[in-house]
Amino acid sequence: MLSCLIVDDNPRFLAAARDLLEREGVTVVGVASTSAEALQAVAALRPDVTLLDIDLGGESGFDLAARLHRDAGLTPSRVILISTHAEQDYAELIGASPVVGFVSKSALSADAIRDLLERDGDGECPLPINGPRGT
Amino acid sequence: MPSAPSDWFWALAATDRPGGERGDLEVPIVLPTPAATRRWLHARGAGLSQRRRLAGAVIALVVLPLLTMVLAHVRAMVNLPSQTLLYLLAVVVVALVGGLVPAVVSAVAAAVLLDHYFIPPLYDFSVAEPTNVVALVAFVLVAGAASSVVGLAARRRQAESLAAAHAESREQLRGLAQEQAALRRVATLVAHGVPAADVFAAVAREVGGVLGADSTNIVRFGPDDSATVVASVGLRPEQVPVGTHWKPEPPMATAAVLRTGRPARADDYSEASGLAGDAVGRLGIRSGVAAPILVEGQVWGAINVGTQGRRFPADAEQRMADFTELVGTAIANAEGRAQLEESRDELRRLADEQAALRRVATLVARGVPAAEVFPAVAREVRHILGSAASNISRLDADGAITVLARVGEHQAELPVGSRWRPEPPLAVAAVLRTGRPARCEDYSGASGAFVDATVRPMGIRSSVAAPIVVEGRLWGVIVAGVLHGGFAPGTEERMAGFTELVGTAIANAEGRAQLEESRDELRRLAEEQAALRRVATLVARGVPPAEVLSAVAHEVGRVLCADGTGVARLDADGAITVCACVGDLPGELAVGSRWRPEPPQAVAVALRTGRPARNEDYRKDSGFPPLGIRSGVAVPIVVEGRLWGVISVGTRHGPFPADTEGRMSGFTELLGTAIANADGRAQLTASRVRIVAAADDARRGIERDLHDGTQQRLVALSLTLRVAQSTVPADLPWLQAQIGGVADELNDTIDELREIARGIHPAILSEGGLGPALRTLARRAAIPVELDIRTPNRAADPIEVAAYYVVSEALTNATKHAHASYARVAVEQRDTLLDLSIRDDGVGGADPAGGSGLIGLRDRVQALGGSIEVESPRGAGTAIVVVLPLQPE
Repeated sequence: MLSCLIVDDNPRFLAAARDLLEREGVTVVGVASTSAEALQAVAALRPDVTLLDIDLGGESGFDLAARLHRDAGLTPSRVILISTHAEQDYAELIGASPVVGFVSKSALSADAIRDLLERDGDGECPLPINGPRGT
Repeated sequence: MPSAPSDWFWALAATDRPGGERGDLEVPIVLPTPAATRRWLHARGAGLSQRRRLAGAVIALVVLPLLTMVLAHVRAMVNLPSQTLLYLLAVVVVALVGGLVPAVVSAVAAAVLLDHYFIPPLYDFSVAEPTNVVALVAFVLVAGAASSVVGLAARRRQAESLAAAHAESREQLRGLAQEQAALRRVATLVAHGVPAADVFAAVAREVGGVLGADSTNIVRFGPDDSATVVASVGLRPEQVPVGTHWKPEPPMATAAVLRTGRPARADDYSEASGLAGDAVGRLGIRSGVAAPILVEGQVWGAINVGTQGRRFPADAEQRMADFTELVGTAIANAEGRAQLEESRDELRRLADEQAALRRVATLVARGVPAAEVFPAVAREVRHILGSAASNISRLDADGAITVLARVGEHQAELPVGSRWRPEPPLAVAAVLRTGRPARCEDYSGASGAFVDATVRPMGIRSSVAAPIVVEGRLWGVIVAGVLHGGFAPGTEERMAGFTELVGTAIANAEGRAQLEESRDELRRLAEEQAALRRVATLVARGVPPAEVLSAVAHEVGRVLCADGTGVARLDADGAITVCACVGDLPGELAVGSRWRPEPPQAVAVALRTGRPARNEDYRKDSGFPPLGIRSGVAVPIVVEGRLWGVISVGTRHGPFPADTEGRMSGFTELLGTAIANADGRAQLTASRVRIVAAADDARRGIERDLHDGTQQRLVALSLTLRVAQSTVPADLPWLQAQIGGVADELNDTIDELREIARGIHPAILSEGGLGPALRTLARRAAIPVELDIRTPNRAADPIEVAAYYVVSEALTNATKHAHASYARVAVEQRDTLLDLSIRDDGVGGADPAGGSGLIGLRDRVQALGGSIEVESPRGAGTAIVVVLPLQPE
């Protein structure tokens, strides 16, 4: 089972996402609402993947992703950024971040996570810098 | 007494010679011809004249018959011897008259008549008695002898009388020749055109000499029947000097000449009275002759001769007439010449006058200052009028006059610039009273302070003054004075030409001065207006107040010629802070310095009263900083009804003109406006920035709220819905489908909401900054966009937002309106500025003023103190260039 940590400041979303992912066969090992919680959870739970919201209240998901990557040492947790914003809006920042990829919150699903992880495992570039237009 | 005729003939010729050498005038001199001389000699040799011989014959023819008839009647009473003696007597008579020849004939005839009538036989020529024959022969012989003696005597007597006659005629001839010579000498003088006075003297001399007069004079008659002596010679001529003026009265011959116009003589002056009587009495003149001198038909005068002896010869008048004719000619000549001279003098005088007027007119026309024209005019007037002194004076308001120029010999008495008050009888006083030319002919009898103090010491005898009229107003007077005599008539008119020129010069000068003055005033006004305009332009351009204050200080200092100009702000504590300072002032007043003004400083008074103040002389007051400033003016600066500060000027010289405060007020008003504008503009700018920032904040907040609230809830709802969908039993496919439809609809809604949120505020801008935000924009654009972004640092939110919206709006325009196929965006951070340019290859024609999008951009950019330029020529693409200051004002 794929273990997953969800980092988001919106409890309503956390609940809905956990519910959805659990049903689709993803073990949600924990949730976090702040960077500090996230860092603690990742260190403690060692999830396979961390779903990280770009907007963490006053904190930046990109910053947190960078810290997770830096603090985790040789075996970093794989991070997937999530947001209600379109991927295209953050494409540049996403590309520059040490993350597996991006999943729109409204399109969140176990399949989407697995696809990204598999694509990342193949060593492919997760997304083109200037990709085709889309939501 | 008689001498050889040749002697006096040659003597005459000799006297003739000197005149011939002198004169070029032909005067006929009557001289005996050689034929006349021969006849005279012949007559002298042949005895008695034919006329006497004929007279003798006639006497014989008359006397002899008559005697015969008488004797025949008284034959009884007279005997023969008596008869013979009577006949002898008759023959002697014939001989006395007719000389020898008629006497001899008469003797023979008497012998025949005696024989025929008285010697018997009577009435027969025979002689009866021989004694009678002897008697007859004796009678004839005695008669012949007697006739011879008597004829000789007669001839002798005639010769003597002839000699006497010759002597007389020789005297006459000599006199005539002298007279002719005298006439010729006079005529020569006349012809030489010597002055009439010399001619008169010469004529008097010659006439006196010719007539042997003891006193000779020539008089000229005046219109009042008076006589003026023009020449006087003879005994003691000083008794009747030239110039003597008298009235001829009978018995003087002159009076008769004056009355009749013909020559006259007076044989007895013993009864003469009056001036002439005294003169003739003193000279012992007893009689005289006067002959008129006619000049062109008019009795001009007379020549008078007088003698102490008996009367003059009868031909004296005739002989004087020759001279009077010459005198007449001389006078006519002299008068003609005098007229000629006079007209020549008049012409020369006119020419001189014209030249003088022209010289003055040239000065006037050249616009030479009136002060230089006056001496020139005084000089010319003096020269033209031949006056001893001349001056020009100006009439002052109080009736006194001020000497402006003077020439001539009155250096000490009337210096230029001296003032005095003319009183009658001065000609100047009359001019001032009447406004017309005036003269005073003779100051010798005049009295008065000025006359005594100045006119008489100067020796001025008479003067002429003429008014100088400038534009209808009596401005001054020109006066000229002479030491002797008086001025000719018409002098006033001659001065008028000069006074007119002087008047013109003064009018010109006054007009020019007024013109200069008004031109200066205009120039001053124009400079002031230009200075105000420059300041107003600065104010209108909205340059910073510090710059306006400095400019005002400069302009005010220049316009008012101040040595120092300062603008100071009044602080809340009552001190002032120098905001601008121009001029040569010490460091205490440097910009930024603070101090507390105290009265009597104009600045302190102006701040205290809120009104302009001045201090005419700081030297009176102690305690003021030793700036060398002598007087100052300060004017308060009021900004929107509030006393803001003060502007002050200072000078090291005299006080400022009275209108200084008024002139400074124009600048203080502008300053007040500038400061108020600057304040207002600063407030406006700040409020615009605040408005824009507030709007941006609001949008950011809305976007955040949407994101954190609605969007999250919808997303959560969507996820929950998907869970619900997955939990629907497979035998309820319609429910599954329906829930799936709702989920899809919900996702679409989420997408829409996301687009709306992005439109409200681009989250990426806050998150990633301008570069990522612009790159996102470019990626999302419908056309290829080339980006050139050089922004090493994040800028302030308002700057980034503005830049983002500029690019966003420009790309929208390029796509939607310009139908461009390509766009290029360049962003460069340059020191404190952010340069931004967006160019496309579209159709152009965008109106920078129109289009709500562009206007919104303009407002946003200007609110940040930036500038935006839109170039969009039709068909040549659109270029939008924006410059934003990284640090807002």
